[in-house]
Amino acid sequence: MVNLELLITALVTALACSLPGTYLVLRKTSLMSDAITHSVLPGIVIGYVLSGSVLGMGPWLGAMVFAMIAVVLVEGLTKTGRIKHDASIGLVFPFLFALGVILATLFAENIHLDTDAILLGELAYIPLDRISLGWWSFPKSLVQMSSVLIVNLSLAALFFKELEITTFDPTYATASRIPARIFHYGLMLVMSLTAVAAFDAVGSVLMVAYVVAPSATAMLLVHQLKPLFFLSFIIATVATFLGYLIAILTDTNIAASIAVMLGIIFFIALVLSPRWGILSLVLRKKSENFNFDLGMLLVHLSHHLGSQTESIECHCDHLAEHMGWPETHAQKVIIEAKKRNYINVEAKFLILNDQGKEAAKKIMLGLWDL
Amino acid sequence: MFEELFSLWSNPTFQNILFSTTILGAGTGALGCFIFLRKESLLGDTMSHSALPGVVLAFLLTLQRDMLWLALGAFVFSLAGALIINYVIRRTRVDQDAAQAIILSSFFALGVQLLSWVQNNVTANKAGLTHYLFGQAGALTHSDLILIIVVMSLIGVVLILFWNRWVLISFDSLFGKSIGIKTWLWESLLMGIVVLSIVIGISVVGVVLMSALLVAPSAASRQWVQTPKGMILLAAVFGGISGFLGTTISLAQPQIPTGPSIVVTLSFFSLLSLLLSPQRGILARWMLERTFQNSFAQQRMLRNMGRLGELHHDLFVKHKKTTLLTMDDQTQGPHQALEALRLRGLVTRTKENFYALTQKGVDTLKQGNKNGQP
Repeated sequence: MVNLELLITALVTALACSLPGTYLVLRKTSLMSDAITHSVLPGIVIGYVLSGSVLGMGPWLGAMVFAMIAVVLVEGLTKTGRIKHDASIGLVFPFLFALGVILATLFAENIHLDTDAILLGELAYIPLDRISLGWWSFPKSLVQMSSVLIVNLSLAALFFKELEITTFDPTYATASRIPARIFHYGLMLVMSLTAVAAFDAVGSVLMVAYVVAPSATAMLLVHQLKPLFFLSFIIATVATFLGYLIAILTDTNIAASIAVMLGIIFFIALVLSPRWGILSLVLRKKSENFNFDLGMLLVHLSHHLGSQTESIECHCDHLAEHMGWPETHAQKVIIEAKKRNYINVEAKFLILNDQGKEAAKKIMLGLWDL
Repeated sequence: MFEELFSLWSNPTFQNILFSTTILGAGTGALGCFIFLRKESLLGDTMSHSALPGVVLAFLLTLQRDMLWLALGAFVFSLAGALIINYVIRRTRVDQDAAQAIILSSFFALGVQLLSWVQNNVTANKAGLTHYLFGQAGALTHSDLILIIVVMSLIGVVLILFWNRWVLISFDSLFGKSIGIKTWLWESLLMGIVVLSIVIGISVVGVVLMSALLVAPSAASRQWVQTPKGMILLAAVFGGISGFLGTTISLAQPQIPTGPSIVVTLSFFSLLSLLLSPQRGILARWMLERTFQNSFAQQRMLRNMGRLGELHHDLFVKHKKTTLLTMDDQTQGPHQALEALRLRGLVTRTKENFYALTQKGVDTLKQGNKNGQP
């Protein structure tokens, strides 16, 4: 059942897409990938129609031209200050995409793109469209994607330092004579190159998941550039295998299944990531709140220490009322305070010991580390 | 030509479609202004994409293609998508762009996967489900039209009733909070209304192009008017006209799908507005800049000629053109400045490539030196 060619094509596509994706995510312009993958469509159609051949360079050139048009339009519109960045993306790419769809339907006889394939790709048909290299014949898409992957990898390796600097500190980059703008447009050009190559396989919307999800997921787990690349490759690989498996088992669209899997992995990381995850966020918040309440108790006790109302204020049973806590919560805080040896309990009276007094003083000076 | 158009417009089936798209365009256009002003333009894109699994699931549960049920499914999922994004960008390290991109594409992928499962495994009448990708205005029935009218007028009533609240949260939500208005409630309500309009719209223009119906009219109308009321009215007009024109084009030329046709018409209006609007337009701005630059260049030229003349102890002395050009350190059009001054009669050309100040020019120069500018 497992079609190895299909699996490898999917894997190569995911890897090739995730490379420029990492820089897009780091530069906080992930949605430019959405704009580019949609905007290449009219270029591809015009390229097909003009060059007449599927194998020719026409679609590639057309796609890159239109991707650049989209990038320049979006940035140009933003720069005029008339509309914001998000609105200019939202204005430009639906326009170009709609134009592409209209062209595709008008020239439907000349090209083999039907409108559903534009959105979804046709990964299942990839092995049918073949070219031969030497003695072997490969799916055309696999050859395309592998070449793009190699180009992306070598560009990333060659300009690793420049890309790193222009991504994290464009001002410093300009100061050290690294042309940040050229690298910006270069990145967009590489993104559009990848988009054309992956278009047949995964279509324009699903591609966004392939581009953004692996590195956005990896960013939740690691904090350095090289491990980020490594991890996003691993995530892309795992998602491809799992997605493929599920698609085969449930008899569903493979490209979509992989994209869903990328989304699921993202959510798992989002919940479980040790440093940035929702779960650790909630737990940290909870322990912070508890520690805060503990501090409140100590301050409360020290405030009433030796006062006339001490017998009421520092009684175990009245605590819930004074602090506005539920009974059970008050119990927990008292137990924790006892455990940390801040208070002594004598006949239901809470008495601060020396360590507790010290701690209360620290809290009021703002020195206590919650 | 007009007879053809007239017969097109008088066809009852076509009228159905035309009314639907016009009303839809006007309604979403007006509503889009709020998300445009709140700088959440791409939220519409995310919400419309994430509606797809809801549509397919609703079909799976009911096994029929009833617009009301499909819309309900879509509503649940796009709202879920929007809420997740809101939570993720507020609470975690993921930035807005990445969160939107991931939710958009993975929800959409889920929809596609479910869709492919339905196509392979369900035998009930599933024709037309894929039309939610690009929409199918041609299939709009009279009951769809009524649904669109009901929903849009409902939205209109809510917009008018709580007008102040909507304007407040569009411009300064924080201020609203500070004077004790429950902004989160109104923001969620606005989001709910937007989702409602999206859900209705995707059956007409499809999930991919739906966002343009929200963004483009407001981007266009913002260029012409300065008040929220005017902006919303004009956006509704833009949306309605584009809906009508786009549909007409696609009805006249049946290969052209309706959704993309409407979107291209809309984008055309927006780009035109951005370019040509008299106050904020890119062209007007550019011309204003040119005018300033020209007048500065003329001032510089006049002053340079005066300074040279003083050196010669004769203000009316003839200057070589090349000398004048090299004296101007700015590259910004000394040629044109010289010509403009000649046309204004401040400078004469005595012979080929020689220029001198006229009496009027010297007067202007002296006047200018007195006032600080010529």
